[in-house]
Amino acid sequence: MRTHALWLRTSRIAAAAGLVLLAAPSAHAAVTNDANDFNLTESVSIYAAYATTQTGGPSFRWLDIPSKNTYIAAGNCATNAAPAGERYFGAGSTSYQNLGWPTSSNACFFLRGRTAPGEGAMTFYDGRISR
Amino acid sequence: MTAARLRAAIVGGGIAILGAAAIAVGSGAQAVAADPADVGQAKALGHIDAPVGAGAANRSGSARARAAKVSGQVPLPKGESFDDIQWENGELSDADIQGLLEFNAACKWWLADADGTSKDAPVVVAQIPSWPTMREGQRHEIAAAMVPGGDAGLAADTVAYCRDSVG
Repeated sequence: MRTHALWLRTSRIAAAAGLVLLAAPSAHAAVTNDANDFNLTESVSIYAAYATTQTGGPSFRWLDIPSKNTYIAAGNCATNAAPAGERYFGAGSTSYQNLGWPTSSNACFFLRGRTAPGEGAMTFYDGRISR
Repeated sequence: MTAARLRAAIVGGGIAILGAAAIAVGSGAQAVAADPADVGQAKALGHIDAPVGAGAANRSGSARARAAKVSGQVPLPKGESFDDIQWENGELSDADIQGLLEFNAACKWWLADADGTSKDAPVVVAQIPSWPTMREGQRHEIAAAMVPGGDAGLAADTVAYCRDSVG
């Protein structure tokens, strides 16, 4: 009887632990934010500031199929530098690309971008940042 | 652990001040005299509205010239300047400019606090979460983490980020 009670208690604790494990989100899951109406011109403009939630650098993709060639970068919130430079996203591409900076977690960065020279503005296109 | 966080762990104001002084001496850093003007400026900035609406989107004129008009509202530790901001890197709105000035200054105050090089730093750091572009979103989360009792991991990462960016 005591053995059965002990088994029951153990089972319940194990089940509870399992539920907790199932319920807990992955510590390394990337957080995504949609950049709605990421309006670009041929000059670099800033969309918004974010903070990384993991190491390895944030990634960006267009959600709407872009009609123009664009350049996207992550900028430093304190200096406005773009330490890793720009990433080229060809017209029609909706694939993710890693922006290369900041590679540490809890780091502030601006999402910034522009259209390729001579292509004019591209407005009302949505993108997504994975950070 | 930052100086601010270590001070928070020590109970009592007098002991906290002694603790800060000990950290400054121990690290070889030299704390400069407190400047009431810096503290007053930091508090006053907390009552200014963030650029919103048409003003926030304004991009006319050079960013450097527009920054010069408002930079006096943002306090910096003694001997620091905004010279490390790349004003020509992009088409900056008034909101972008305000955000850059504040985050640049905040980084320098957070480092001054961590290194114990300014007696004003703890008071100014406590005001930063109320600054116009630090009141909401992730910038606010970062600023709030730098206040004693905030997220220690985020605070440590932010000090490292600032040291890498403006240190």
